[in-house]
Amino acid sequence: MSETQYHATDRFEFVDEDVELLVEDTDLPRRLKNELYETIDDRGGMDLEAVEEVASAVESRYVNTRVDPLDPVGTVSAQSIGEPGTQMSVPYDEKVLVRRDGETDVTEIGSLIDGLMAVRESADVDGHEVTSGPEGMEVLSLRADERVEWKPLEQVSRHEAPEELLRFELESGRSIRATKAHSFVVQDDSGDIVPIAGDELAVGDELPVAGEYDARAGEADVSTLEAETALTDGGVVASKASQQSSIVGTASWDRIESIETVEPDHEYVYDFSVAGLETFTTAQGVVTHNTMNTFHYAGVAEIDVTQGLPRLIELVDARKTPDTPMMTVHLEDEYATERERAHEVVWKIEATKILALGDISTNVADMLVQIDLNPDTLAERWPTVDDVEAVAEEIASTIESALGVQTRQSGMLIEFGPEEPSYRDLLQLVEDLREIVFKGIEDVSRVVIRKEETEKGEEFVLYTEGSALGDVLDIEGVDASRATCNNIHEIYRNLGVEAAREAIIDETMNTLEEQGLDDVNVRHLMLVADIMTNDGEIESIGRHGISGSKDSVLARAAFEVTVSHLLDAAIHGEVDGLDGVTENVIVGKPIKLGTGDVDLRMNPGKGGSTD
Amino acid sequence: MMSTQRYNRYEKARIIGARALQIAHGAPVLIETDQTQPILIAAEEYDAGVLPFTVNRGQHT
Repeated sequence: MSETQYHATDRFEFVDEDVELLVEDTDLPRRLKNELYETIDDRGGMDLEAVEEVASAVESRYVNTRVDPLDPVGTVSAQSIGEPGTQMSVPYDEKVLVRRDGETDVTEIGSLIDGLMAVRESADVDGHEVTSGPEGMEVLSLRADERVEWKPLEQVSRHEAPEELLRFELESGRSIRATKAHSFVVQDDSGDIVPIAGDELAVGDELPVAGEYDARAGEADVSTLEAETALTDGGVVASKASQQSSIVGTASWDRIESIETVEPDHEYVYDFSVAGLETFTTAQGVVTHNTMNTFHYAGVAEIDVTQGLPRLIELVDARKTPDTPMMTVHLEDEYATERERAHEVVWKIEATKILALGDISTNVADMLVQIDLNPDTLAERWPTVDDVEAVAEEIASTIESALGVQTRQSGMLIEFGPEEPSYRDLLQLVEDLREIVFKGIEDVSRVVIRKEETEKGEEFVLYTEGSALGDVLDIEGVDASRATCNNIHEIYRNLGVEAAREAIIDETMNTLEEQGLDDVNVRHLMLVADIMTNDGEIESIGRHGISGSKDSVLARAAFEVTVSHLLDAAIHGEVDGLDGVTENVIVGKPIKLGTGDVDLRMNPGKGGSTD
Repeated sequence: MMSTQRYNRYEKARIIGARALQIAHGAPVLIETDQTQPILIAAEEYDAGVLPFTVNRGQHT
């Protein structure tokens, strides 16, 4: 729609040609101009001066806040910040812009990546299939200085599609679909450019886009961009062939018109990983941002650990068991370097219950519980036993001793029933059966294995949900000198006070560091840990610990529950020697420290002249 | 005798402080000085070793 075709005078009763000329003369977009007309109309017409005033006010507001297409807009500082999401990808038929040997092409991301996966070896990273990008293939990426640039495609990946996708429609008619956690970059209120998860975007937010969008073709025309840049860069009109310069222009911003959730219609969703700032551009010119760096958050959910103030309170209170007990287990020698050996240790630690091993069915007619074991799982979880039958026998005997029943076992089948035919007993047996731990440590419900860079080089480290340090230390392959847990009392029981003191320092420091308080001096925490472990056992700081067991009544009363302390002291006739700091502050005496601790006497008559 | 005794910084601060208070309350100054502030006069008296104070270290060191 061209501007000259728009006749405001016909549409609005109180808008005459002079007003229209004035308004049309501004740099305002159509939407704002129309709103201006509407306002004028609503007021039943305004005189020309008022209109001019309003129009220029609106215009200056608009010009101040807008970002012109192809204008550099600040520095893109969209670095990877840990995205908590598990999936961040676009669906199969999202078209993307790629360039290969100088030929710009539009392709469906899905068919491109599926094709690559078929011919290349792909690695499995936490449920994501990852393979390297095709050689010489480049995608349009947003650079740190806001320019749009062709960058080599480093890696491509795909993973199973989630249940819902988001679909964004932009003001210019562009659209993009992505998983909820797929991140985009937006400008925040202060004009800084920040990454944002897809499901946090709202209507009205602006996304960076590249090129000019042709609504009919449904594709962005990046060629105009290239020509323009070539012109400004070298002053020469560039032909298609001169694509040496990889910078093709700057990004502009496009408002989101609507957001809706859609169902994915393909099995997988896909992702590109690009060197540098990890963004790529779809065929419609929408720039999206991705971070392969956060893959360790994907697929395998992180172990949930209490953090922040609640954790700090937990530590200082010296709770018997933390809210979320966990262990960090380092391994020895070949267990630390070979995935299979490391897994052996995992199965020795993680509690294996019957549900993981096979299917349970209850046969009410014969009053039998039947277990159909899965031989593959048995072989996996008992890697050191060659014969799966032997494992099945072991399981059967474990059941016998745990439930006190006779079992019949043949091959992968185990059956048993209550002594007397009783429906209730049968169900009770199934209930009890589910609780039996066949292998591993009962308290450890889950083990996450992760490859990490440590002082000993790259090695596998186990993180467990639930802790039983004493049991873990005895397991073969566990490096007892580096195994820790977050339960201070467990460390105290197994390794002694000194270890517990060390653990308190480490845990409090880590908790503070996670909250960005890494400049707290360790000595403060060492002091706390020293006080807590001073008696040779762990004591909490609060009312029931250190502060509650002080000798001085006044010091105790100053901490908490003042009245009851004073009352009890009065009843028992306690005496306060006023030795501590708190007591002396309360009674208004100088404290017995430094200058306050000097006992000064004057010798009258002795002084006077120097002899 | 006085100059042979060594005071630590807390004792020194306390002595000068106590003496400055006396001077401020009108005690006769024990030395010739150009100073006018009690604390500075006290400091000079301390340096001259004329102050009639002893520190009782009794129970500790």
